[in-house]
Amino acid sequence: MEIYICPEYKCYTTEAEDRRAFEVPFFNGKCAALIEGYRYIPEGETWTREDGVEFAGEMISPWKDIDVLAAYQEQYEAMLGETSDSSDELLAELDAAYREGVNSV
Amino acid sequence: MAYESIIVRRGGSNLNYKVVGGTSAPSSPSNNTIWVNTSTAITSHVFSATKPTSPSAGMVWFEVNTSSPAPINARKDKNVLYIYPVNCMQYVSSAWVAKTAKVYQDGAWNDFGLIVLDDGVINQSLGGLPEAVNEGFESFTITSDGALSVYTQALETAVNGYAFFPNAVDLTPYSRVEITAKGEGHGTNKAIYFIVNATKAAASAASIAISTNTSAKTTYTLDISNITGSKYLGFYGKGAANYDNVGAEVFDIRLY
Repeated sequence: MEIYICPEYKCYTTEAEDRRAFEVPFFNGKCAALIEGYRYIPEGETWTREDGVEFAGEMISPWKDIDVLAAYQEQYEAMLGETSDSSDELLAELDAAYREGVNSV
Repeated sequence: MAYESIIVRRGGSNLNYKVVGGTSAPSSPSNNTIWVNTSTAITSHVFSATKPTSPSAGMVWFEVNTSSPAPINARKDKNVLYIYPVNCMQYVSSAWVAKTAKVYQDGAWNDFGLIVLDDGVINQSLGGLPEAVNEGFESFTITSDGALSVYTQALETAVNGYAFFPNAVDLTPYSRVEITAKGEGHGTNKAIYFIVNATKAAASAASIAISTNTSAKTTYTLDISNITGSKYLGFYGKGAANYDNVGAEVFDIRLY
């Protein structure tokens, strides 16, 4: 799946001027709320954490609580299972709803 | 009945800590009491960044680094001497064995780091060698040069391989994993990945690539500062098609 990373290596599902695109199979089938709780460090690049520890890519790790992200994904998959229409349009609507819900917290 | 041996080693009148061994935590510890969970009598202890080269039976080695989940001011007087213990091992029956250690500070026990794998020796709490979830990995072995051999299966059609140590680890006290490994395989897919997951399923919640094209020992670091609770540690790998597998030799895995 194509995702976008900002200069702090946080993942996004939408483009923006300061974001770079990467194809990352790890995020296949993942909802936007989970994707946007992760960091992706590409091979050959290094991210420095606040405490000074350096992490060289290729690394994929959450910057939000992993158990909260897992709960989002579980709910997303449950909703997918309950719907009879699994069109791309419906999946996009579900993702947008989750993003709105996450942003409201 | 569990064997209990409580040996107290004081560090001298000006030092501000003591080391206690036993299979259960001391019931009324003073501040900066270091408890080593062991049934083997502690005969001496060493704080150093590198493993002692001439250990004696029962010696405890506290590995130190530049930071620690449990820093200790070792001095009792107005001066300060901070030591940063990250791991603990004890020399038992002519071999180093990873031990759990904690320090009592401000009313609570603080964990040191955790050694998962040390020169090919797996911490017993992990339950043994990793076990493959699917056909993607060969059986895991310890090599003669002290490494955990991690190889994908040579298959006509490559699959996503997953494997985990049998027992989960509580990652709450730790913020990073360091893995020291070297590549031994080849192929169009260039990495074995060290992974973390909530279950022993064909999935991962976090991962760090171990390059299979690098033949020199290299240390890789995975951020786990937002991963808490009991999680499984393991590996992901995918060989190339036409029986072309990839692999790595993993020497050390440490949590800090």
